[in-house]
Amino acid sequence: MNSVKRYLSVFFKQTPGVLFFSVFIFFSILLKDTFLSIYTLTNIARQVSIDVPIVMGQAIVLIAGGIDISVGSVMAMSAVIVISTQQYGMIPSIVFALLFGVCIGLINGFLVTKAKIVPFIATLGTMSIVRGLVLVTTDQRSIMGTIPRFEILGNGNFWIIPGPFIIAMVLLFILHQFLKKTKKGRNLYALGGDPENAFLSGIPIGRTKFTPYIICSLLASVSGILLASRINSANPQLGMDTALASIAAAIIGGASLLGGRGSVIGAVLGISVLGMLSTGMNLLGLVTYYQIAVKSALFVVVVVIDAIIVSKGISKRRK
Amino acid sequence: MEEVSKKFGGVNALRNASFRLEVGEVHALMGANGAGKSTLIKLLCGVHQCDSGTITLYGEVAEPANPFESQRLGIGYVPQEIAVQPYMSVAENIFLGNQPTKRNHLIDFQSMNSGAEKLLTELGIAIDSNTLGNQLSIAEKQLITIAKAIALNSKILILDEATSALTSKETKRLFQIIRTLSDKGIGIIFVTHRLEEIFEICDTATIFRDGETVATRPIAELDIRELIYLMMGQNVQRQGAIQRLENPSRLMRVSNLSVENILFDITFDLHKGEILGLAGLVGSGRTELVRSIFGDLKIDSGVIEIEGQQVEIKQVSDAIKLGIGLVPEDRKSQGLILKFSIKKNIGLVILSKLRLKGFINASKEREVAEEYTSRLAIKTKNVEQSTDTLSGGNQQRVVLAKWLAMNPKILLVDEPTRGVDIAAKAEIHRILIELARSGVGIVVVSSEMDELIQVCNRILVIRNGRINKSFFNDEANALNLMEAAAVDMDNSTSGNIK
Amino acid sequence: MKLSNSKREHSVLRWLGLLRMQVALILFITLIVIGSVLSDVFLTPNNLLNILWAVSVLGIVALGQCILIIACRFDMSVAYSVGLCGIITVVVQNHGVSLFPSVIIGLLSGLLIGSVNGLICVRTKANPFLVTLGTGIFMYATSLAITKSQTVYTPIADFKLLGRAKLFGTVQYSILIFLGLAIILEIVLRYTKFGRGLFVIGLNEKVGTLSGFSTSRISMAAFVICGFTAAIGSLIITSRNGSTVANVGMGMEFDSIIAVVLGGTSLFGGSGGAIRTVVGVLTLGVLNNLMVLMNIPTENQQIAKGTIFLLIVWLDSLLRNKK
Repeated sequence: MNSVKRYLSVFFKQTPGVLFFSVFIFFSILLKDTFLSIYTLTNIARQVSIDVPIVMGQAIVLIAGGIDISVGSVMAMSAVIVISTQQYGMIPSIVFALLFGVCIGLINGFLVTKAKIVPFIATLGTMSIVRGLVLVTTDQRSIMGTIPRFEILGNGNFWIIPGPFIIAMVLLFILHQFLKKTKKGRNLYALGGDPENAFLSGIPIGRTKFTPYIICSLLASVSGILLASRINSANPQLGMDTALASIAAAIIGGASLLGGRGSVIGAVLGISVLGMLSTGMNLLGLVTYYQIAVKSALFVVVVVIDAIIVSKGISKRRK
Repeated sequence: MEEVSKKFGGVNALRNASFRLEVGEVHALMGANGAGKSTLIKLLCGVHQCDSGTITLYGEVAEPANPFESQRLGIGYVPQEIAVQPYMSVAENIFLGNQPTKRNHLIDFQSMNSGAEKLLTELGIAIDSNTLGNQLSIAEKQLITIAKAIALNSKILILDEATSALTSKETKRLFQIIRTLSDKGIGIIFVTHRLEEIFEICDTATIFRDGETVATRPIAELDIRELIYLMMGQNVQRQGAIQRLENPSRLMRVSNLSVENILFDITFDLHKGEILGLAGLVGSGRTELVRSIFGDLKIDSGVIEIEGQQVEIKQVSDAIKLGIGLVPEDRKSQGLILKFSIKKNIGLVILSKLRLKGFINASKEREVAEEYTSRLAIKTKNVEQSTDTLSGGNQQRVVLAKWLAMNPKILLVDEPTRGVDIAAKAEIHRILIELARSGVGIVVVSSEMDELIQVCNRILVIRNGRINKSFFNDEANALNLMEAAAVDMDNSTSGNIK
Repeated sequence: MKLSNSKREHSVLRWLGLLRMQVALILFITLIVIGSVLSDVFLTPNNLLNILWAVSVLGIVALGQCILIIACRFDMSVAYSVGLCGIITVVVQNHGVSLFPSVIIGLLSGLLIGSVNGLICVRTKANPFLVTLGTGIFMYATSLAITKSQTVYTPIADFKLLGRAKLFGTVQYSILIFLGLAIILEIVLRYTKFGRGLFVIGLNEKVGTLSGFSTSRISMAAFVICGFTAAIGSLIITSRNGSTVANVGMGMEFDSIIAVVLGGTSLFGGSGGAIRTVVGVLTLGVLNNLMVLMNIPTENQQIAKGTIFLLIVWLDSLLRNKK
């Protein structure tokens, strides 16, 4: 019985990977030529890579036991900033956008650790404010970029590899190293996993709670910049459903609202699964709403299976 | 470590207590509840600071101001309630906050894992260092916490009720490890309620009573009766003075009740107007027994009859319908909704009865609350006061009031006076006795033998999930109760199991 | 000396406590005073009714949300049930179902949605926030599928009365429904065993179980109520517009939570009430109305709203920690 449980939980730990490959193989078999073409795959990679930073950011906040609802707004505002400040040059505009991300991260971190507001509520507030900023600065209209060169970031290729993909992979590597191999990274897991134990192990709770919000907002900015670059424009509707989508991807990728669990690799696999599902179903000629239905159903199933495994585990332990 | 000695003056919890631990010694701290053991431990761990007196470590004054300092001084504490990181490996748990790093500041997992493995083998702990925290049993978590303390170079290890949640096999393993540790020169402070254990593992015992050190003796010079005598003081021979019931009429019969791995084949009767005590060590199954009768714990087999009728209790509401109430052991987390007023807490169980055309009758709710507040002498300005502002004794009275309000036939009471002052304790005893006089059958679970002798007509001693012995009040004293809780008895019980 | 000191401290604490309980009310009254000073039209009955009318749909949804939050749970799917229930109603109307049955069907679908949410959460003990997040998006997809992403129009003219008509030509029905519902739920919360049970499971489920409450049944019922109120809100907004689209309720999941929190209900469960939620909803409404009257551009309104919201919760947390 114990071995079955262990097997199950190991399997579940690998779920993001298993899901990723099953979806990949499923579409490869079903849509041999169209799906397995370089064009399609690079397209998926490009799409997904733009969301990768934001999802990784959300995963990091979740790991530390928090949540960030403001990511969508921050992404939109960063896109708006990077486009609307292009008159100062490309690099400064990017720096402005990133600085904005850091600022919001600081505010979120402050609200959660110093003002002691529940993360959900605090970031809900900043979400609303930043969305307001987006509406004000864009005057509710789309704005166009003026530097064509800027598009390279989102649309460029190195050989056949999409630019955003490379950026995403570099970020993934760095963040993975950070989370898995540095003390600060492990502290995030400890804080989310069991705060009491983390405290007794001498981990600085305040600082450890603060950092993930900065990282997350900064990454949301990166996503915003990539997105703006891809369409070389920005509009006030950007990132409306990103908060929920990023949470969904991170959860599918093995994170938990209770904290202590998950990884950036899982989060990337999670968002890739969703990306492949979109493209694959597109190629199958399924309309958007079926895609949404399938993705949300998948999400609920993952959440439910996880809950069942967790509660089984607990009742086992109690005996 | 040369010596640890400490003295306090003035504080009630500990009065001029002193205590000395030698290198490599396993030292038992003994004493009844409230004797001062846990206060002493808290001082060592830096949770509290002493008002007077000194702690010396290797002859140097060492007074930890907080848990970290205590850790750095080499004092490791393994608490009763153990937390580990659920999603981290054993190795990481051991080294959390103290991980070995490479020159590039990244964590050196290789040396961490090998360090963990080396440590685990040294201690003789057979757990794979890659296992995740959430897959460990309580015993294993304990061992990991011990290993963590050792990894921090602890010279003193405090084990607080370490064995209360362990099976006998797990306990054996723990003892082996304790021996390994003491061979390494680590001093171990061992706190337990289980008397027989200290004879197996400890070298010395220090006994506390009412905040004072009564004696420090080598174990070899003690036997169990003497130990009990030292713990209980003069009271130990005090015989119960409560008469046997004259013509008992049976209210409830529990027969052959078993709960997997916890309770085995429990059979007993409860009579009208009787107070039945359940004695036993923490973890012996006392609490689980009342919980299972109350429908909060699933019964695997066994029959419960009330007034001759076989009843089926599947959930708590069934028990309540049958007139059974339960005052749980932890009033703060199980008995009261602390943010509710006294009125709302008292009304919790009887809401259905307070209804008038489907709605809660507010004035009646208030009336009932006021009635019981004055009957139980709950000290409060009015019944709207929130219960988190009340003293422990008053909180406990509110919990009692909540169940009295439903006019129970049977009241199960788990640790009714834990953490309340002496006056409140006497008052709660008076309430229970009065209640029994009115014909209610009461089951009292308590760790305090004195308490059971003062209120119970009959006392069953539970040991390892079985009824080990049963006494009528006039046969019981603290000595034989403790003995029955600590040592297996033959089945010739004198109290009646009809 | 010491006594009088502690006594004063005590009264300060009580004052703070009172302030904390009434942060929302104080803010609300302040806003009204500001409004009456700044604008002549603000205090006119017409304008006040306008405010009420504007917030009544959000208010009804927030009432359901409030029930769940008291029990320490969430429903993130309300935004999309507000879309779906109306769509179902209009679509069955277009298939020839007459007014009353169609309304019943709309309400029943709300009950069904609530039951499904409740069933999943109670049975699997999965996190309600995540589950309803998922089911919400699933409902959104369902709505899109039913309507083919188009706006659907009601064929029944009378249906529009529900959202637009006025009792005695003065007060819109939707306002009455909102306030009526608030009163009913307030009574339920205060004076029924179920209502008490909601607070109990919001504060301490173990005590609830040990006092004979069926915690799973209470939590199930809370989800059903929330689904039902979302359905009512959905019918009103659909009737008001005479048509509906899948994303008509977009953002309401967050707005309803904001309203509930503004009303002084704690997200940790076990506190709050329906009337308080009305105050929270009205605060939002008055704020909006004031900003319109003061000609603040809509875009800035959102910033102001967010800022005030954060200030309030910050103040709340400050006061709480003082205590």
